[in-house]
Amino acid sequence: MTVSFTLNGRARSFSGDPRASLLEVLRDTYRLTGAKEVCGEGFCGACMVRIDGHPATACLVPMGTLEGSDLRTIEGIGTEEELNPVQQAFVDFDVVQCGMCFPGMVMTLTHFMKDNPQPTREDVKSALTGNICRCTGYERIIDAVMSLSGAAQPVTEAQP
Amino acid sequence: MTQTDVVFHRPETIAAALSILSSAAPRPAIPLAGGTWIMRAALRGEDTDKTFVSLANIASLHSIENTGGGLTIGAMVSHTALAQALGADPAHAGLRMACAASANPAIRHRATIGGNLCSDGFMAPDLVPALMALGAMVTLQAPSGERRLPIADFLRGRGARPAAELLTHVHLPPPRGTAAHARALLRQAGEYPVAVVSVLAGCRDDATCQSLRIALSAVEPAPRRWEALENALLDRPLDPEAARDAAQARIQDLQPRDGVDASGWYRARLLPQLVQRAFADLTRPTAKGAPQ
Amino acid sequence: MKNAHDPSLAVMDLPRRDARDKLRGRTRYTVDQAGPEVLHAVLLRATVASARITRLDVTPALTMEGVHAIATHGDAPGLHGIGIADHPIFASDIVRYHGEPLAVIAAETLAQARRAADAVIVEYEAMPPVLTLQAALAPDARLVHPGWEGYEVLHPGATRGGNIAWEARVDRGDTDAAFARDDVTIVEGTYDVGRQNHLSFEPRAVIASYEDGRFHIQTSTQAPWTVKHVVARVLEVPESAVRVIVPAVGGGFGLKFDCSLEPYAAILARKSGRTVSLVNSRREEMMTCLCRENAEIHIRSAIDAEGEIVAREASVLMDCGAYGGEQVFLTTMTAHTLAGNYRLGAAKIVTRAVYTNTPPNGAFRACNGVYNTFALERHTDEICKAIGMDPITFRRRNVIGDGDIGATGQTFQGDVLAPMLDRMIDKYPVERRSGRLPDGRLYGRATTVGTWFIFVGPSAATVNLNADGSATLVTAGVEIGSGTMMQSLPQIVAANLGIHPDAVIVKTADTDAAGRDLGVGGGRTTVSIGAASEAACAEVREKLLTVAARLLQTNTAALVLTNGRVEIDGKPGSGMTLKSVIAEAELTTGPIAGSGAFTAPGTTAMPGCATGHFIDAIDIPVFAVHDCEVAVDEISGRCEILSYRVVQDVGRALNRRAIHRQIQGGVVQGIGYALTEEVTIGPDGAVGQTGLESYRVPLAGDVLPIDFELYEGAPSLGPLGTKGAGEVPILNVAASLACAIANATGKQVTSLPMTPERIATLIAGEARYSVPPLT
Ligand SMILES: Cc1cc2nc3c(=O)[nH]c(=O)nc-3n(C[C@H](O)[C@H](O)[C@H](O)COP(=O)(O)OP(=O)(O)OC[C@H]3O[C@@H](n4cnc5c(N)ncnc54)[C@H](O)[C@@H]3O)c2cc1C
Ligand code: FES
Ligand code: FES
Repeated sequence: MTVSFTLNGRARSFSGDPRASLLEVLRDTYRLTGAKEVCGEGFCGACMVRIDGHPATACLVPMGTLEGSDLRTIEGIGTEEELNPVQQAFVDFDVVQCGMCFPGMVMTLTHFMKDNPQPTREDVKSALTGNICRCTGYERIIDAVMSLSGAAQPVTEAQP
Repeated sequence: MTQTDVVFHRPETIAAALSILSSAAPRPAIPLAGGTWIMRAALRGEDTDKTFVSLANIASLHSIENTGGGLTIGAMVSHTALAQALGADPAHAGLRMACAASANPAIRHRATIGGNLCSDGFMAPDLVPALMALGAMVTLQAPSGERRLPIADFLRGRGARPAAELLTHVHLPPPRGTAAHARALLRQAGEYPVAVVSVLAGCRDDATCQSLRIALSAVEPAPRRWEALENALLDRPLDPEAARDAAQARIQDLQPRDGVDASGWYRARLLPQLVQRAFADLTRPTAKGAPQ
Repeated sequence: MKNAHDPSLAVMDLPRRDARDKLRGRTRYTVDQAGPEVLHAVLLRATVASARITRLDVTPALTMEGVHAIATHGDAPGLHGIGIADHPIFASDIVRYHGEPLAVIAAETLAQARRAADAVIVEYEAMPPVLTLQAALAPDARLVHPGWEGYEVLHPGATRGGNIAWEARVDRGDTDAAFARDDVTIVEGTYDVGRQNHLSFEPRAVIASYEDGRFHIQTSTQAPWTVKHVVARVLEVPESAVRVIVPAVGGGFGLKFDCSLEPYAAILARKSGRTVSLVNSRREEMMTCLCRENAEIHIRSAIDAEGEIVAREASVLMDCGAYGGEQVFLTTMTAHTLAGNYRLGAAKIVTRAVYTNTPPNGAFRACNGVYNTFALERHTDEICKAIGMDPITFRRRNVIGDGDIGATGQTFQGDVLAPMLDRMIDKYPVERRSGRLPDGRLYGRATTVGTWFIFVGPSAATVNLNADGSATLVTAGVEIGSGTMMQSLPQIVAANLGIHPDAVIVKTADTDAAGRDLGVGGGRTTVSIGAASEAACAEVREKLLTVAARLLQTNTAALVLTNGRVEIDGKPGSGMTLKSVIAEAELTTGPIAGSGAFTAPGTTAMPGCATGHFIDAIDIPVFAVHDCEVAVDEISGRCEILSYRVVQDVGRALNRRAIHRQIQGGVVQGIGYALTEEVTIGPDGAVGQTGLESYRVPLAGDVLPIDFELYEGAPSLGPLGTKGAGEVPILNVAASLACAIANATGKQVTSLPMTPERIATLIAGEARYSVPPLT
């Protein structure tokens, strides 16, 4: 069985075991290692990607369900020159630590800010229910995101 | 894996799905909904070499329809989609809350109502007690035909379901009354609840309780109704403190389970307070079931 | 030093240079490195806690599809350890913990390696496991290490015996006489704490190859030189045959301060002739984590009428698990933490690391300091209650100050804790410590003090000046997430050389390039590697200025380094660019480089006070004052933190934002330890929390912004007066929350973690947890 989809804007087809998780395939087959395997069970969000525009934990998505899907991973966010606004805010607020959770944080929050341009802190925290960070204690991440709240430039993303 | 040894199917009709599910060779076949339970099988130490029969391409399982004042919900409707589809009717506030507060945003977008009902061994579902409180029925289809039964009956037989059977739809009766859904967590959000109380109450003009259904989840190994508490509170005014005291008085009815997350003792301790919280929600005039 | 640079030049909010790649998913951690050419290994681990292995037959696995190599005990018979060499990397004839490695298998795919592991035949003769401290210390307890007497002792001087792996003692003054006085109040308390899993997002992981007769090991570690040493020891090869390289590390928190998976991958690489990757699954990480240990603490104090502590006795039992590991070393830290903070007339402290048939424990951010501070501060509040003294007044009166003698007799310098306490209380005056909130919940507030240390010790650094005026800093330091390698070190080097930190290249750790180093941990990176880097810079400056003085026809004393130039002091624009000085040097003396080194200066204790200690006195103490307010629900036992405040002794803050990050992150990790993170061990000796469903770390909704003040100016040996700032924020979190919860509930909080269920139990008055739930 072959599964065809677009990955970061490029057509791809996959003919391995369709029960394999998207995460495994991204990391091992396509060597896109931005999505991390941390829990493998939907709690941590380190494997967050976007499937047809919506954030999904790649560790729980079997390849066979992806026929015709539009997939975007952290590697497909921002351009070579420019970070997206969420990424830039994280740089500006100096919030990154070990960095393992950040690809997932960026995926979740970029989507969230697009739909909720003026969130409260509590809204941001709810949005992060499925994104764990062991290093930062979260609040600096939220400070950074709140700086985008109601920003002149709404959060869209620069795409290649 | 050979060419003929297909491990993943994407049937477009229920009949086709059932026919694949019935021919289980060379390995067992299972329906795949959101996958959020199935994909963790290895972590539960279960056999993972099964044929996946994805229900994603079966259009009729994705719809939500108005049927005679009630709702018929396809098994593949996600928690998020259901939360959005349920209107502001107070009778649906509990289910809406169950859909909108369970798990986390990404999971809610994928996990389905059918999966929530069919995950065998899942002791802490949110949707199940909310559906029990609503008096929902489920439709099951097998090659031999179709049956419709109340959730409680379905749960009783869940462990021994035939492989070739699909839960296709969930039916909600026309909304009547007010509902609430209270979850006890050890953190703010993002974890399986250690106890859930879901309530639907209908009141007379004099504010006494005419109809009442109270369902529990996570407390015992499977969700259940708490009939003794319902009976005790029927025909009395909705009063959170009285409901709490009545729950406290009947806590012996239950056999709360010991788990890694909490002991049975602790679940029993929480329940009266949780009942009180649910009843306070019922009597609160403001918007109900807003996501946590 | 002549031409001393202005230390304030090093102070800035330098952003992290690794942030962009980390935010784009481009950073390749060790777990991301294994390409298609690499073999994948899995460990076959014991499924029992205590047994004699009667049969271990790998032959069925050897011929399976994809399998390239298998190793067992015979391939690496050496023992390693800290203090005592008691730890084989594979169980030989005896299994001592659930999860202990029996064999390791490399195959072309992970699935093949797993199938092969399933095919290995293992037969056991079960022995009843010793799972708790009580069981291990019972008079008739089975010995976890029957052959303990035969182990090589690597650090002499401690008492050992039976299931006691190590004993450290402090005896200063006559405590018996003090307790016998009739004018003292005696206060006593017993505390117990559970384990904490680091949950570093990157698991322990390694990739090894064997080329030119040497092992090349790329690994997720905090301590490359320790890995080098241990791999060599257990494989019985010279240390020079092992090279360790460390890419970005996805979190450590102490978990990676010891050697872990590296020897297995190394053996397989040699056997197979291929590059081998070995990565712990999350389940393995959960079940064999070198946790912060569970422990039991007993403490007793005699207080005189003035509220002085005339004597203190304490005993601490630390569960080291099946092998001694870091706990052997950490017995030392009781003296400086549980017997720290306060002036003591006399002290008698006994700390024992105890063997059990449970997964070995290890080091975790501020280690036993965290629970010793919990026990000490709870005990201190009990003392205040017993003698009727205000807890701030008592602390203010008794905290260690300038010239005071510590538990082991060392003399402390400077008044630090007292002014820090004043700063906290001035900012947040205490109105009440307990009460009821309008919503019905119980309110509590508490203020605690804590003492930790900077783990100094050997570091080496080389600084090479490059032709373009940039500098390359070569050390064995590792970037584990704290940012030290990205911020403090380039800031220090840049300030020393008068260049911008962006012009300082920081080489990632490679033991073939950098000199020996103790590792990144114990808050030591800024201090030890920073000091070695400063020393290297001094040599570079010397060489630079000599060449420049010749060119500018002046003497070196008249020159300063600034803005990438050498200038005559006080005459901006008078000098020349570094580039031209470097070019001139290449023609005359050759390229400019400097090397520097640092080690512990060895502060002294009173002779005879401490036995079995690895560090008798602490070179750089670090102090912290924390304060918090909580609201406790009486039924559910849930504790909401209403405010959390920190005053932290940082010596000198080089990068305030970086320290803020560490304080927010460290306090939140402490909140998890104090309130929700629970590790239980079942009757089979296996950890019950096998993943993130059951192991509850704080999520975004559970935290709050931490209010903080940096206390600068306390004495420090660190470069530019710095102290490490990353480890200590976790130190008194459990202490503060426990004291606040005790104030709120009026109950004696004696156990960690204070899960909602435990608090509810406490309030309900049932003695449901008198010992840690390890059964
Ligand atoms: C991190 C996380 C947190 C969660 N938290 C919560 C929570 O707080 N509350 C809560 O209620 N849920 C929660 N869940 C969801 C829950 O645990 C289940 O994963 C989910 O409900 C299963 O739905 P699914 O559609 O993904 O089912 P799948 O994984 O696709 O299937 C589950 C089971 O049902 C069977 N099945 C599915 N659909 C049908 C059908 N139509 N007919 C017959 N059999 C079928 C499958 O064969 C399988 O055995 C959480 C999940 C995760 C991953
Ligand atoms: S790895 Fe997918 S959610 Fe944690
Ligand atoms: S930065 Fe390390 S997990 Fe978030």
